Amino acid sequence: MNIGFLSPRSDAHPAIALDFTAGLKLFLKEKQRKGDIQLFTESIGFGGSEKEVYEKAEKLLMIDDADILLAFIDERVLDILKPLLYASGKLMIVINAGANYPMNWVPQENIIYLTLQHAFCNWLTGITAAKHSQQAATATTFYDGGYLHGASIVKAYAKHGGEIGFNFVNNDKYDESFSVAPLTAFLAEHTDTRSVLCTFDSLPASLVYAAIDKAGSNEGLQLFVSPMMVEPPALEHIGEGFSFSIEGHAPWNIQEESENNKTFIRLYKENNKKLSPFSLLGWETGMIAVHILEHAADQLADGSLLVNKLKEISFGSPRGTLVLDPETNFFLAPVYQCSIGAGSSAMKMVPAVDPEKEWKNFVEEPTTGPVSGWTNTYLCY
Amino acid sequence: MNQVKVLLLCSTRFALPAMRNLVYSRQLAAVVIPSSFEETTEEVQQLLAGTGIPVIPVNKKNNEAELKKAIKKYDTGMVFMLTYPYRISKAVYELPQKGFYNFHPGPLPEYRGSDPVFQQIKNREKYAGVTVHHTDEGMDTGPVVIKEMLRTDAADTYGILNNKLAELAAKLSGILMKMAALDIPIPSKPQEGLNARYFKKQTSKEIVIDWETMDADSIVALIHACNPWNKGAVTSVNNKIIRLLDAEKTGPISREKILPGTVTAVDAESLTVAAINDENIRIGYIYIDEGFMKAGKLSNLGVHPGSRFMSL
Repeated sequence: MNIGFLSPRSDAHPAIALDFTAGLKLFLKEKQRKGDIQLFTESIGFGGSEKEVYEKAEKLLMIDDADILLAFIDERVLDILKPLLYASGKLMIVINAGANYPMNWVPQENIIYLTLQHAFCNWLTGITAAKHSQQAATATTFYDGGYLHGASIVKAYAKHGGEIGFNFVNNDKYDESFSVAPLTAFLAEHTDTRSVLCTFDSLPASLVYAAIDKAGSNEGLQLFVSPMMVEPPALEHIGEGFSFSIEGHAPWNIQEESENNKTFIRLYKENNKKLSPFSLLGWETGMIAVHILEHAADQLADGSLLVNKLKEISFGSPRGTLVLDPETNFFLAPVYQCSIGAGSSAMKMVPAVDPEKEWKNFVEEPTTGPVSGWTNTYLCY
Repeated sequence: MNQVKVLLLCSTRFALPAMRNLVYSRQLAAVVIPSSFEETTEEVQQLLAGTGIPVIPVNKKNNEAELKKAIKKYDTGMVFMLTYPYRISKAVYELPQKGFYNFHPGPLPEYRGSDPVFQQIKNREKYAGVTVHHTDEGMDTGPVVIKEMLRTDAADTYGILNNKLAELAAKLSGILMKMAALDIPIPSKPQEGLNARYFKKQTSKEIVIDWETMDADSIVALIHACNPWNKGAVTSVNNKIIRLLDAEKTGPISREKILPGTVTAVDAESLTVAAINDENIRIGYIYIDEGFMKAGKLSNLGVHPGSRFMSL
């Protein structure tokens, strides 16, 4: 079986493609399927050039004869590939952080989505925030705010009665010039607002945490944060703990005691590989590919049929049970509620209660009005 | 990016969102409308007011000649048809360099025919869609470029669904425009004949409620499928022809056997009418010669519990 991979590049997360590919290869090695699957890779940079993405996809499908196309791209670039995928009939797996989501959730029949569910995590965090307080500020960057996860946390918060009193959008470089002064000034002046809905990648997140901590006046302050803000690099300055508490949701708990997770971690250690959420996506892609190889090797030309077969089963992923939502063609997995108390550096992670039910509310929330944003894949910059 | 000029052919409001986008992107060369579609012509002229973009009236006789002339005159790279009633010959659809496309408001090949919006609502489809395909000499038979579906809502009327599909068509037209601008060849795939169905334009008989055979869901769907273009689905009560515009199925109620079509309740807002299988529908709005009104007002015309709607 030939797999074509539209591979991303990221200056912010340089290992993104390597981690993904390593995860995929490690799974194939573990299942002794390395020789059965040939991987063809085409680099698409940050994923923002539609013409480049199209031409590379066309090459993988037409010249390399890919049976499955893996595309590390975001929603905005996906549209231009849809006619090509429709004509080819092949299966495409769209892989990304899940920071964006479609304007129309009804999928093309031969396209499925494997993501880290970031926008959905933000939706859940918005609900959590509304349970704590009905008055909040938001904080993000020009970059992070250009994806729909920012809308997701605010929509969920507002839907559950919350009101936003202040929006802070940072456009500084991620260095010593980085400042959150307008946000901390607002918080110092408005002591009734003790909640901040934050959407940042891990790089600016560490700066945001440090800057808010330094500003003081943080009694009772709670940050409700996006998934990348609970990744280890984001918390590098936590020391003995921050002067505020942190709550959020994450797509994976690396400490999870399940057999699938323990096997995954053990194999990574044995093979001296670095773990990241992108390795997890690679591993899961391997699971999907091997399943197809074992159950539909003679039906590779019919991507819609493969999708229907994938809807019938569940996968034991390191992050929990992975199932393909038949309505949206998005893989759904458990998500984890994360919390770090003020003055503590220990993060508690517990499985979120009934995320499937909330997923339905998330996808049924209409996206109306004009929507703008970045075309490149989230985290590829 | 190369800006491609588009000639847009249409006869209904379905074309308006795509037209709006083309106006904004300054890629609309001209609009061709059959002169018999006066209401659409008026709406299009309003949308294009002040843009200098011409509206070209055609009829069945001069259609081909006018299209040839317009394609050449405006250096047309692409032609988009969004509900255009005339067939196009090969000599015309092969003229534009970047293709001649039909935007069909239904999934193909399952919903070929002139009014798939009506048929999709009537058939209570969970999903409705738009298919973009290359024009050929058949009716909705050309190779498909892209097909996108959306979820329908049980309360969708013809007008609501048509508007939703029109916005979807506008989005798909944007994808084609972008591909053309980036000089990407637009791929397509022949339709699979196995699932092909052709629906003729609905007859006057098809828009009449048959209380004896249609269940509540079918009646509600027909009512919505006829709103607003036919001012509702047709029935009669007390020898008066009435069009039902809006209805919903209500829960089954235990009662003695009541004949389908019998009015079971009347209030100021609505009428409740029995359907087969012990089901009921609540009718919200109606149209009669006197005007559009709440169904409850029919009590002024002698419609009371026990009155019976009849199939024509």
